[in-house]
Amino acid sequence: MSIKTILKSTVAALAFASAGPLFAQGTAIDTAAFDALVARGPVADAATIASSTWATKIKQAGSLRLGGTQTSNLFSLLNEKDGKMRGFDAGITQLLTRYILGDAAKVQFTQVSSSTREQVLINNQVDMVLATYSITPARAEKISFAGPYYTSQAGVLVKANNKAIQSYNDLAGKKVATQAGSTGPAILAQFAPKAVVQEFQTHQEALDALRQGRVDAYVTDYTLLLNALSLGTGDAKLAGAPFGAQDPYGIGLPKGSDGVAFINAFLKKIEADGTWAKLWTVSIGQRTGSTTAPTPPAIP
Amino acid sequence: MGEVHKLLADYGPAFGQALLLTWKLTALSFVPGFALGVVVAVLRLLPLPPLRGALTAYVEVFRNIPTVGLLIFIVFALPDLNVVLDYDTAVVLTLALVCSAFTADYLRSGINTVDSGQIEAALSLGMRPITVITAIVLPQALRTVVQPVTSLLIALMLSTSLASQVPFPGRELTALVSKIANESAAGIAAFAVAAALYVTTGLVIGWLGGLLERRLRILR
Repeated sequence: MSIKTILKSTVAALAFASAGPLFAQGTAIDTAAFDALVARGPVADAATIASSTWATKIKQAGSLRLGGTQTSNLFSLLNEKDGKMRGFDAGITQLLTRYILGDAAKVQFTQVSSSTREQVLINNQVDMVLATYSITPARAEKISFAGPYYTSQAGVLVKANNKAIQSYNDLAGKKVATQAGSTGPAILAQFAPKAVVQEFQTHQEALDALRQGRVDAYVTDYTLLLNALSLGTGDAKLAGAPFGAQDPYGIGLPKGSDGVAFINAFLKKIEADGTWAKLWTVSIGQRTGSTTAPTPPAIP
Repeated sequence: MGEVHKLLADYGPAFGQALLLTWKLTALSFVPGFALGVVVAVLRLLPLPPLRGALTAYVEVFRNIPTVGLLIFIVFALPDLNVVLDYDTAVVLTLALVCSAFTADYLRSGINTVDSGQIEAALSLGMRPITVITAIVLPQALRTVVQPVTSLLIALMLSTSLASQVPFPGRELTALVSKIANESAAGIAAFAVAAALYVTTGLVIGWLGGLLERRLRILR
């Protein structure tokens, strides 16, 4: 048995381990609809670009340097087949890139993690960070946020046969999965302080842990849970309604950048012309069984 | 640097606990890993071809597998075969397996430095083969491999950061860095502090290994 065979069987076993249909990644995005929507996005005139040094710099460079992720199922997931990223965050990024440069594809991607998001902006290694980036006071001390462009709330996912957990009130003493680097741990500390919290690196690992019975519940962004259920075979269910504070997602920019005003104007524009709602429907609504788009969060 | 000061004021005790956990994980995986490696190395000396083959396969697998891949396999794939290990057990097992494979391999080269004339002499004096191994071969082999095993121990200490990839109970240094990065957006300063603690630990291990090596060196 060669090393290659062993590695291959490891990968196969891992694929098998995460292949449970009930907890699969969820309904895929309609790529054609997504691409068409981005291609119809507005393009700024020269005066609008010239009014912002942040946008002017990107226009002169000929590409927008993004700090983002490739593994966020609903928000920014890399499609290995065509090498494109799609999802709600990816849509906002591409619409903004098209708005500035006239071509949505001119994005230079840099992988960021929750440990590096501020630093890549401080070092000027990227023009913006758009990666389900919750606006918090500690972060706002170091960088500036445009937006918010989306708000989320937490939900609780349990196995379908679980009668003990009806809502977040029943999590005391239970093993609860959440994602490291998300606002999940803080939400649990506030709403279920007696829960035994286990932090997983990815959404898929947390789902696997729930499927394998390692944890009793999984708390994360409610829309992600709806998506996980969308392909479900009834093995899992949501326990109770979404709960917790509205968690606003912002677009990270270097401290004091005039890109904040520019991006906020752009967000108001795509919210007013219906693009935001269509993007939400394509990347989140259709994939979670929700029909009506929410009202976008107020932009200061 | 001001950021590091503020960080230590806020998280000083947490860093202390994280460092202790890093040390504890290192010790917990090194001791059984090293012992297992010695056993494997000795068993590979026995003239039993099937056993040799199996042990060679064992060493090659765990020496050539990405440690993080092994951990993810143990934590997320084994439960589908109805083997569910606790996260702390899984981390220690992963590190111990990898440590044992490297130990066995280094010891094999250490064993090869023992002159075959000594073994023939011992056998002709009427020593039993197992006594030859425990009294003549192993002591010399172990003295020879202090240096590579010191490097292995440092690598193992750094590999304890793997614990941050699973919901490990408690936070070692790398998991603490991730937590601080999220809470107070001070990821780089936190990483600098953790890196300094890793480096210091590595230097201490290296220095102790050097001392031991000088004490045990075989003058040839």
